[in-house]
Amino acid sequence: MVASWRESMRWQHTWVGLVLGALLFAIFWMGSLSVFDKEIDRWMMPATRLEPPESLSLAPALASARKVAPDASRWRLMLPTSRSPQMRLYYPDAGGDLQFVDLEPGTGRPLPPQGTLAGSEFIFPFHFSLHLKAGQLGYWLVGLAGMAMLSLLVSGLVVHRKPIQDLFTFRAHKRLGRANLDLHNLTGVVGLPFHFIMTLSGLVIFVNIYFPDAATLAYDDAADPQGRFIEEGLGRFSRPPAGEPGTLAPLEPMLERARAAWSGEGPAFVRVWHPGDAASYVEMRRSNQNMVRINRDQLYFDGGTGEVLFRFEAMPLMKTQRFISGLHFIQFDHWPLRWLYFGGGLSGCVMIVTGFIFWLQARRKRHAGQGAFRLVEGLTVGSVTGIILATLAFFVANRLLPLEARFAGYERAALEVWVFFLVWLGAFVHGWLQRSDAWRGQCWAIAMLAVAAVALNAVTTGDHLLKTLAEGYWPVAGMDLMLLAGAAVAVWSARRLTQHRAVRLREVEFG
Amino acid sequence: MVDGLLLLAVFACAYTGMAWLALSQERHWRAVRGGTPGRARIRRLRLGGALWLLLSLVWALLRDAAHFGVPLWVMALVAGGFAVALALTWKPRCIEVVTALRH
Repeated sequence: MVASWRESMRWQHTWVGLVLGALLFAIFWMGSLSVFDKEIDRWMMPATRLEPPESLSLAPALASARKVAPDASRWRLMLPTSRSPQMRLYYPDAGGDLQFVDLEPGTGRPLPPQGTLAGSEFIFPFHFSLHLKAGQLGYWLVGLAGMAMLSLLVSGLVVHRKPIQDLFTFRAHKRLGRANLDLHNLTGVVGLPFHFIMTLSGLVIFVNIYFPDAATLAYDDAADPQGRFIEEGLGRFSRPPAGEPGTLAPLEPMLERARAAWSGEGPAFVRVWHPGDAASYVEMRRSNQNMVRINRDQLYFDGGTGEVLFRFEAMPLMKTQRFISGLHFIQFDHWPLRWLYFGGGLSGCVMIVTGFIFWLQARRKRHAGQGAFRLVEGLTVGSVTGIILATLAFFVANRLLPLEARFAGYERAALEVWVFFLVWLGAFVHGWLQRSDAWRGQCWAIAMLAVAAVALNAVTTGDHLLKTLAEGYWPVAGMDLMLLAGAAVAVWSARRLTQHRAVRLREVEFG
Repeated sequence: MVDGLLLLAVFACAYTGMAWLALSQERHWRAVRGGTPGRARIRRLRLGGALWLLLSLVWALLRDAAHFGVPLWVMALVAGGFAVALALTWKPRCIEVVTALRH
C-alpha cells in the first residue's frame, strides 16, 4: 500500500502515464494535425487546389451524381467552403459502403480521383477512432485514454507540489533531468486550460458511445427509446420511396429558403433522399462556419414541390453539447484560434514525451539492463518520433505513388496507409534494437523525409514554395513551411543528441 | 486592419499581464531586476498583471464577441504564459521591456 495521498497520486501519475502515454501521444499528435486537416487535403490532393467558387450552382453537380451513382439511395453533396473549394459527393455503393467523389464546383465535373484518404479521412479519424472499427474498439480506447488524461492532469497537479510558484520556471541551462522536468511541468500547467477543455470536450462529443444507455434512461416510456432520442435530440425526418419515378424540383429556391431561415447562412451540405423517386426529399444542414456550435439545424423539402416538410433546431441541452463539441472540432473560420489550437496540441505532445523521458531518466541507472526498461525505451521512441516519421512517410508516399498505383489487391489509398503503419512498426523495432541511440537516427530521418516531402510536392505538382508564397496560396505554402520548420527542429534535436552522446562517451572513457 | 490590431492587443496584453505576474514571484524578480521586490510592489504587480489580463479579455470580446472571444482569450493566456516562461529563460530583456513602467 502507498503511504500517503500524494504518494498514491504519484504512483497513479507514473504508471497510468506510462501505460497510456504512447496512445495519448498518438491522439495528441493526430489531433494537432487535424486542425489543419483540410489544408493537408489540399496538399495531398493536388487536383483540389482550386479557387473557391464565387457563386454556387447545384444543377451541374446533380447531373454528375446521376451519372456517377444513378442507383444510389441518397446523395450527399458537401458544398464548397473557403478551406475546401471542391464539392464532394458521398453516396452508398451497392454493398452499402459510403463512397465519395470530388467534383469541380463550377462545372460539377468529377475531378480525377486522388487515391488518398489524406487529412480529413485518415488523420482526423485516426485522432478519435485509431481506425479500429471492430466493435468501436478505437472509440473506447480513445475514451479510456481521455478519462486517464483527465486523471493525469489532476494527479500531476497534486504531485507537482508548487504549480503556482513554478508556473513560469524553465531552467533550460541546468542538467537534462531538471530541464526536462521543468518543461513537463511548464507544458502541463500553463497548457492546463487547453488540455483540460480539449480532453473533456473530446469525451463529451462521444457521449452516445460512452453512455449507450442514456436514451433508454431518458425515454424509458417510449417504445423505441433510441429512435425517440435521435428524433428529439438530433432531428430526423424520413419517408419511404414511392416506387414510382418522379422529377426533382430545382434546388436553388430551396437554397434561398434555407438562407432566409438561417439568417443568411447557407447549408454545409445538401442531401437528396431517394433521388429519381416520386417521394424524394431534400435535406439541408446549416453551415458551421460562423458559429462555435456544430449545429443540428435542418430543413427538409419535398423533392417534387420544393415545399418545406420539416424543420429542426436542437433544444437547449443538445445545443450545449453541440457547443462543447464545436469548441473541440474547430470547424468554424477563425485562423488565430486554429493556430493556437495547433500550438496547444503540440505542447501536449511535448508534455507527454517529457513525461516519458522523466520516467526513463529516473530508472536508467538502476534498471538499464532489464527487459522491461528496454521495452519502455523502444516504446517511447516508436510512439514519439516513430509516429512523426510514419506521418511524414505517409506524405512522401502520397507524392511518390502514381495515381493508378495498385499492389497486392490494395487500392492506392490503402497503400498509403500501409506505408504509414509499416514505417511506424519499423520505428518501434528500430527503437528496441538501437535503444536511446534510436532518437538521433529517427530525428535525422524525420528531417530528411520532411525536406523530401517539400521537394516532391514541388516536383510532382509544380506548386513550389516560391510560387505558392508569391501567389499567397496558404494551404500548400503553410504545409511546406511547417514541414521545413519540423525538419529544422529535427536537425537541431539530432545535433543536440549527438553532442549529448559525445559527452556521455567521454565520461565513460575518462570517467 | 482593425481586427489585426485588436488581435495584437489581445496577445500583447496577455503577455504583459503574465510578465507582471511572473515578476511578482521572487525568483523571477531576482533574475530580471536583482534584489528582492518589496511586499507592496508584489501586490501592485499582481493587481496590475490581473488588470492587463482583463484588458486582454476586453479586446478579445470587442474583436470576436463572446462565443469566439472567450476561447481566443483563454488561448491567448496560454500562449502568453508560454512566451513569458521562454523569455525568462532566454531573453529576460523581453520581460524588462513590458515591466519597465513604474510600479
